[in-house]
Amino acid sequence: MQTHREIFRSIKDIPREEFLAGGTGLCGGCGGLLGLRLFSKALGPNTVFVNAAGCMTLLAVFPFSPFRGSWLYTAMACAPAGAQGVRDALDVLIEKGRLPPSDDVSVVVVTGDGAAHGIGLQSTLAAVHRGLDFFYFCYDNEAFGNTGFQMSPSSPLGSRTATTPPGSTAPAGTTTRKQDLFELWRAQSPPFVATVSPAYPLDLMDKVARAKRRAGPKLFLSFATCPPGWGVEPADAVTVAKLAVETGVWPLKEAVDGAVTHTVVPHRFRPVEDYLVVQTRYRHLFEPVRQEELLRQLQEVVDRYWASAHNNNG
Amino acid sequence: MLWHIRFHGRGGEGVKLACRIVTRAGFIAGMTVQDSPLYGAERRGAPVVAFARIADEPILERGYIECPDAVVVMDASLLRHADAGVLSGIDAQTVVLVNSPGQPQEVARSFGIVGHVVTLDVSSLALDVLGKHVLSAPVAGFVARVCRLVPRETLATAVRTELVAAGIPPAAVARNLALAERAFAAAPSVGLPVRRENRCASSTAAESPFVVPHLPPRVAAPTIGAPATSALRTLEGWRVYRPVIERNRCTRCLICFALCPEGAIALDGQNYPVVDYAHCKGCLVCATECPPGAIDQVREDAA
Amino acid sequence: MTRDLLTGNAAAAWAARLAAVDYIPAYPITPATEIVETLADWVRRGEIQSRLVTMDSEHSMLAAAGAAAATGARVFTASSSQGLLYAIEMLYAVAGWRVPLVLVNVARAVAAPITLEPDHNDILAARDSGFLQIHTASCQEVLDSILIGYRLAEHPDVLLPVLVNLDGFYLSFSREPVDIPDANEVREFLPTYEPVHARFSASHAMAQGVAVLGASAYAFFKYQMQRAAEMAETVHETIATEFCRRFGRCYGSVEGYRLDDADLVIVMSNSFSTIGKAEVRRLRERGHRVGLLRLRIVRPFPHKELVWLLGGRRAVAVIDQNLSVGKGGILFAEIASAFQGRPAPPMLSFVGGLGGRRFRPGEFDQIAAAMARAAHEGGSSVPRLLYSAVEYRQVSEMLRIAHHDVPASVV
Repeated sequence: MQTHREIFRSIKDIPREEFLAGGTGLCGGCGGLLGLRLFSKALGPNTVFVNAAGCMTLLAVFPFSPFRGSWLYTAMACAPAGAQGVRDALDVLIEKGRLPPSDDVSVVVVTGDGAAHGIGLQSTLAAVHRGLDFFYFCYDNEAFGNTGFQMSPSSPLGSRTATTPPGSTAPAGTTTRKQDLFELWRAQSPPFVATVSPAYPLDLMDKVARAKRRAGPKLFLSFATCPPGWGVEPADAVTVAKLAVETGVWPLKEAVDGAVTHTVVPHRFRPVEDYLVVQTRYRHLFEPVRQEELLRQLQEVVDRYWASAHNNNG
Repeated sequence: MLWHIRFHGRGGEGVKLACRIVTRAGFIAGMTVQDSPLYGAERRGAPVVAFARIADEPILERGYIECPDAVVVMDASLLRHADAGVLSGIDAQTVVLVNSPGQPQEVARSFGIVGHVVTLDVSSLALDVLGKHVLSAPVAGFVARVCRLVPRETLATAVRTELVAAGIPPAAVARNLALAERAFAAAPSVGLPVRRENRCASSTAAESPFVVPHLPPRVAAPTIGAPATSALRTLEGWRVYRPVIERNRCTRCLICFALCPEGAIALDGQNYPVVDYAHCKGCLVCATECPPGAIDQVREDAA
Repeated sequence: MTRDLLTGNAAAAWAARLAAVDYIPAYPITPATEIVETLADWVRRGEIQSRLVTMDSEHSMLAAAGAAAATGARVFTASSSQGLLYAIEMLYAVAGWRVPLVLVNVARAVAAPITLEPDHNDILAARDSGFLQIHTASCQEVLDSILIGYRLAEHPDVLLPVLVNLDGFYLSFSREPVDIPDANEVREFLPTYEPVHARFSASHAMAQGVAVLGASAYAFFKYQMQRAAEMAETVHETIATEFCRRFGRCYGSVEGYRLDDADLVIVMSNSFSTIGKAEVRRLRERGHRVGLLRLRIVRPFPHKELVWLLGGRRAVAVIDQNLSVGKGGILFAEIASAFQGRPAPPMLSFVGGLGGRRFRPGEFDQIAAAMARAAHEGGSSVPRLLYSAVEYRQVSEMLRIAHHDVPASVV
């Protein structure tokens, strides 16, 4: 099942122009970069990306920047506050006639899940509270990827990270559940909240097109395969992202003014294990002994999510 | 004596680990050692350098090795990029170990290497035994033998110690041990040059000092005033494999164009995809995702 | 021009109003809050065309301030104490972006323990950040220094943000007569900010605040800030001369009081220096040849003026209203270093006014006497805390209440 798409109905509708040039120092097969590339294609070049510390900090390394639009690096905690300053300054300068309205640009925060869920959550929710007119693009690789893959509040139960290695005292690796950024945002009823995946370019880009028409805070929580952190080959980055959707682990959805719709729902869900087994960050669930109870629990979390989603019609 | 060995490779190939195995071997053999990796914030595929110092005396030097006694070139594609600095600071006595199937003389000639070139096709060994382009153990074996650092048994102990410490599972450690020994056996024994002092410490190597002037802040801030300057950087050296599109099998579905993380696949006038090899990192998402299987993977050195 | 009674906080708000600032990100902290409250009131009444946004922290406040300045707006904001420390990361960032703005710090001692009265550990914690620093001694000077601060920060040879310091309570809540210049005259002195180097727009893409990987580029950009700060010395002189001509009030990087024939010189900064002037006058009446030197611009540090004005004196005493724990007074160390390679007068280090502590009767007599002795016996870099037996008795009594088993020797 999939939601009716308005602008990006077929791959032929994807614009040919690239607004994110090549030549960046990010890893080959970076799911975050693919998500950002598709996002910027749908958004167009008139943008200021305001970046929190993370992998994407390295997009612009003097004297090289991949952006056709503009970019400002702030610090880890405060990219949404930086976005506030840029947005407000643009508004004031336009109001006072010092910047022609045609020179206006969209303001986009780019952040990883580490900053989004932790050190940057305060400034994020504050910007949502103030109703700041901005896009918020979070590439979710489920750990602090930039520093070598340490646990973040977005790390899933049962995954290995550098600070939650599985051991006899904690065979699961990460023992906490993934924090739900989608719902943290939705609690404030911003106009647009969405999950997206680089493996579903049309779903992603059509959401951008729909969000563009709304003023206010707009979240794009983008699945971001991290080949070195997850232990998958760069070539499989998109395959793994597809598996996340096909197993129901990564629901593709949007909430417009708070009401949730699932935009891509598999006809039949594959077992969650199919997604876990291809990543070495879950290898300890299968060897040397299968952790049956934990595997059952991980499947159950997904089943419960979808049962409740179907009940609420989403 | 103090020997300086500089390792050049790419993120993901095991540069740091190769260096660590070599110093571990020296340590086990009773020498004084020091190792340190240097990597920028760039990732898997980006150039990485590591330094090993091995001595029979206390080591006071630290950091970058400007004038190495041996250079280990784990990825020959780096030799094509002057800015990688693989050959910087070498002289005729420097031993240059190159991971290449080529003959030493050919390699020396084609890249203009002045040092004593030794070659071994470590990549093929690794792909053969491990099925992956991870070179730490065989490169350590290559270095240990060529530089005449330690006997085979000491190397084996060092490989096991470092791989276990790095969290490599037992079966993979065993495969790497065999691989390191194959590289050790296949490599020639050359030895390192005996020098009186570090060439780079002498005053002839000094750079002239410069008093930095005040420049207008307009240009003296970390600001980039032009869009998309990153396109000026080529990344072709990042690849182990390159994707090659077979036009006769291509259905122009545009999946590869849509899913290239780098935006390195453009469309020509007839909507056929064209790879921009200057910016393709060789991640091969395109080859995996191509529905008709029209994208081949070709080993970069053979391309 | 109008002349009215204004607190230091009101003077700061008036300066922001006269500078026609575009943008004011805010976050409350005592004793600075009044400044943004005043501005918020004017914004809501439509008296000024600025946008004021209450942020979620000082860290966010400085991020928004810097980002707005990077977009091309004239930005004003204010903080104090813990707030300034919370924002320190962004102070370094904004200065490194080379974007101009004025940040007012209302000095307040830093916890722990918590207190509300001023000393200068907060503002001096920012001394290495790349912000230029002007330390003020009167409400009038607060207003004037903010206007001068914008000219300085926006000067194309400088482009570094400016911190203007005023002491909590002693200036922030004290009313004094203040000349409020005419808005049109200020406009001539300080025209609308027109950014050329840092702005965002659809027709002008740029990346700001980018990473540099490699020490050569980092060292280059960082040292350019030092070069620009050095330039700021002469740029300030030029701007201050123009200000003096237009408005009749003249400022240097230091201010001398009865220095001409002074054998002994007391060095102070900020609002307590006016207390120092009163004491110098009293000491003069008793026949001591004492003068006072106030450090007004702390960054760039006025090495030359200090050496010129302090060199050859019989003795110098620096009263620091701060404490670098394990070293002593921060300004003493900085002033002493200015004499590197030149004959320095005997110097003494006093630490006074921590947490807003008042000077006690007779303390300046003791300082003068110590200086007279130092003129013969030589100086010392060991800091002496100005403290009295009466205070110690008071604190002992508190200790006794707080700890039942306090040793008798303490009490």
